[in-house]
Amino acid sequence: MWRRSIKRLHIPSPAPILALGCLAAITITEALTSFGNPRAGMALYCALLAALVIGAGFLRLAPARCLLLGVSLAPMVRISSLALPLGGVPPALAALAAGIPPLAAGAVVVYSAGLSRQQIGLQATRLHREGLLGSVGLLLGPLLYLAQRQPPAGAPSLSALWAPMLALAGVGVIEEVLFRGIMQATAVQALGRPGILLPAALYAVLMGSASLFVGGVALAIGLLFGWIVQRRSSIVGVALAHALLNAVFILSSAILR
Amino acid sequence: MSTFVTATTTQILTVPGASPLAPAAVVTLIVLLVLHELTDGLEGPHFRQLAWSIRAAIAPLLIILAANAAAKIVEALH
Repeated sequence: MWRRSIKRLHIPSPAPILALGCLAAITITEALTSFGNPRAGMALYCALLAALVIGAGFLRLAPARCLLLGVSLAPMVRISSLALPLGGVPPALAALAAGIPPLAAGAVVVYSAGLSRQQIGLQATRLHREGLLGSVGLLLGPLLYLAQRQPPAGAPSLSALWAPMLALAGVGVIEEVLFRGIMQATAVQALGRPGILLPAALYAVLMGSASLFVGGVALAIGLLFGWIVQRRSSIVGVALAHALLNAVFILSSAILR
Repeated sequence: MSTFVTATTTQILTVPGASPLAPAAVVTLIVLLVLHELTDGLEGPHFRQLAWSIRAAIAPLLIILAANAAAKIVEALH
């Protein structure tokens, strides 16, 4: 009888509380890094990363464990951009280089969480539709540039444009694999459909240190891309859109400045 | 638009060579490596799970360490 009543007890999942706690901790740490003391912010990011991976190791519930592993990619993104020797490297190439360690982390998370290629959206059934979806980036790139009206740091001249365009296109693909692929797959596993909110919010927090406008745009794009990935079960289209968005954004900054 | 290198990180990283913020990452790597070594040898699925979770942070931190070591070597050679 006791066993039966224990079985009927509804034990709430810790995932929503964990998700909100992680979002709050990363927001505070990013604010400290950007507007306060970068050294303290970096130390806090490192502590947060260690806490997330160790915490994930102790959790018995698989979805909550995968959620923490997925979220650990966010501090990794900032640690990578701050701890790699990128001083003096052109910004576009620096961004691509800073994407490599988080991508390595992502590969281990995929293996450790037992995520399949389909779960992280690395599949495309109708390539022409994904291509059509990707072309949205061609429109969004110049629109964002015009809205921001501020060339990115180190915007190159037209003659030296191919390398930054290709580098930033690669950055777009890496970001989609990390945020909409791996992080969203783990968040949706733990939180259900509202799980698309978490990677979009984390993406906005990491982008938003530049300005509130950039953060707002990143949140809107993150939610739109997250919703598309959730519906289509593929990140190919949004990765292409993000790659084209970044490439056209840098092209616009060279042409329209 | 990139989360990897924002305007803030560009302002922080102005000096060529090894990153001034790399030591914190290296300390974290050492702590995680020690914990990994302690748990990896232990029997049981829970310890294996913990070791795999820690590897998700160790792999990228090793890349960061290698990049900074290379930058230091280049600096010393010049």
